[in-house]
Amino acid sequence: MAETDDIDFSLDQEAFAGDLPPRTGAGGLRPGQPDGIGVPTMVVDQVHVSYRVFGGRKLGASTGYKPSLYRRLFNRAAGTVGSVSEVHAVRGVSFVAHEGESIGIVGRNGAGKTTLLRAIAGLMPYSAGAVYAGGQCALLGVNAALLTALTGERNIMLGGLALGLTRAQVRERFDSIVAFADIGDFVRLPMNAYSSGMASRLRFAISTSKVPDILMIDEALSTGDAEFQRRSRDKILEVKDQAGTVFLVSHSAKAVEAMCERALWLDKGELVMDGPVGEVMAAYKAGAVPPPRLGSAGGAPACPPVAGGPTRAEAASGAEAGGRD
Amino acid sequence: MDSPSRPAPLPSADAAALASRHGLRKLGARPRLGAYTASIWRRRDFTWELARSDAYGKNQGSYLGQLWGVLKPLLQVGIFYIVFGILIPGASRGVEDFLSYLVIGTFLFEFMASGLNNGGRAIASKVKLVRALEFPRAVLPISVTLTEMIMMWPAMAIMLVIVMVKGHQPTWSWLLLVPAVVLVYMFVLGCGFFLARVVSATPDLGNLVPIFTQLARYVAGVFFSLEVLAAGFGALGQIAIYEPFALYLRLARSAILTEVRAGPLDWGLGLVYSLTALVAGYVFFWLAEARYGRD
Repeated sequence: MAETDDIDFSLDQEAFAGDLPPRTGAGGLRPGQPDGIGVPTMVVDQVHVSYRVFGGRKLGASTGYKPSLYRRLFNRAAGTVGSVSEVHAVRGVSFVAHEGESIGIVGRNGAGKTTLLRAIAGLMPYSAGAVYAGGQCALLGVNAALLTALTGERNIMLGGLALGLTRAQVRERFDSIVAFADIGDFVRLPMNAYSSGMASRLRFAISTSKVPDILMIDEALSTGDAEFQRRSRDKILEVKDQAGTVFLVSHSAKAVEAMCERALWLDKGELVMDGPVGEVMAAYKAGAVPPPRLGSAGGAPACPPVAGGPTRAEAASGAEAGGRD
Repeated sequence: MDSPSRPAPLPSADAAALASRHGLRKLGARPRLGAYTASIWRRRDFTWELARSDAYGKNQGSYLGQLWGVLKPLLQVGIFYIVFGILIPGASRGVEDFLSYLVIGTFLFEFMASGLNNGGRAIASKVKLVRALEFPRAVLPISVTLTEMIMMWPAMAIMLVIVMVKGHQPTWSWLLLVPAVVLVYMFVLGCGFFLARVVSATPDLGNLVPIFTQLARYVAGVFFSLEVLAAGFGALGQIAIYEPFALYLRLARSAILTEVRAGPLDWGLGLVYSLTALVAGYVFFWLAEARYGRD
């Protein structure tokens, strides 16, 4: 999913210069001993996510072989007409998250981090498995709801309502959102008149105006001055303290080490390691992917796009099987 | 387990038991219809704000701004008047006041057409929003149709002004325009629900909706009297007279123009069309609630 542009604040390394008090007992939280410390807030059971991509060519088709002109023309048409690929982005991930935990999700580009985050936030349907969650999950970021043609004022109302606040609640928080975004009178101008820094501060301020039970942060690279970096770190910590459980997707090892006490390492859609942040990050930096466990349900072959992954029909039944609640 | 080996997954039965022990709910499960409807009602402020903002944003970014909301349908009427009122005089046969007839038909039909076109893209065009925030997805088709409604009001006001300039005195029967518009809204929303699901599953169909509305524009009697023309077509003509688009145009026109008549059969059929479309479309949309946002 190349949609990380939704959220354009970043957790810069500089912002984590201050050390955080490590939470206690974090190391013992494993799927193997789920009732250890803290109450489970989320149970993820063998989740698979796949999605359709239109108009692309099947990956893995590029070889050094040069086809004839006729074949090239023919294949070109085949690549744009009726070409649908199924990307099996997350393959059988399981874990249990607990109250008061903050969990970093690390992995290389395309490992399925963002897709996993969206699936466990309930935003992208998963094709097999199950996700159980207590309370409200929210992905930090309301960009998709905002309209740059509108003024900051109206976007604050729109974004707040999109997050599920009432009108009265948005009005109540209006001043603090404007103050946090530090945009002053610009709040009365359309957002397309803002500098990129102002726009990203306002988006961040709106998206943190509501505190969910399970907070998910998908970091993308962006600019932002050091002062704002520091304030956004404080805000995330504040949210984290109230939120119960925080998930953080990041490329930055430093950000994960500073913010999280537990880490999940994804590789090619599979969970390869789950444990205290120190151990996982050490192994991740060393770069050695542990061998697949025998009998692991997620042990699909290692070619990323599989046309015959869980099919649409399976996916549909998977999604509809749990027609309760 | 601290050794760098892959973590063992919890067996599914244990996972489900653990979840139920701690009162966790399963994500991605489709809610019951009643609970779903209630959750849409709770999000009414968001729905309305989204509709208002979209309507405002659509005409932003030009010198005349919101004035375009009125100018565009007026220009449309102008084109139809030139072609069907002047160039092809036979088209206005059997209509006393062709301009009023045309204005009401065009404004109402364009609302239906853009409601269907945009309703079909309600999910597909907002897939980023669907993947970013949690809310009942039916909010999107509702809000898209509301956007069209909001954008229609100024045009409606202009329509009434034109009709009055043409010498039609306001009477109590003008109030029938309200139920006519409500029926049209329900019908468009119901079709929007249906199309939004179909198009989000198969985006190709999104390209066919404008073709279909184009066909409807030519057969529904927007710029000619269907009653006069259908007389020569037997049963097919009767179908054309009672298909939803033609029927709704007749209901709206009968409220203003004395030359157009709509009886209890017309109103009853209009109600049946609207309720059927709305209920069936809503249920059809809800059945796929857990699947939106995958594609």
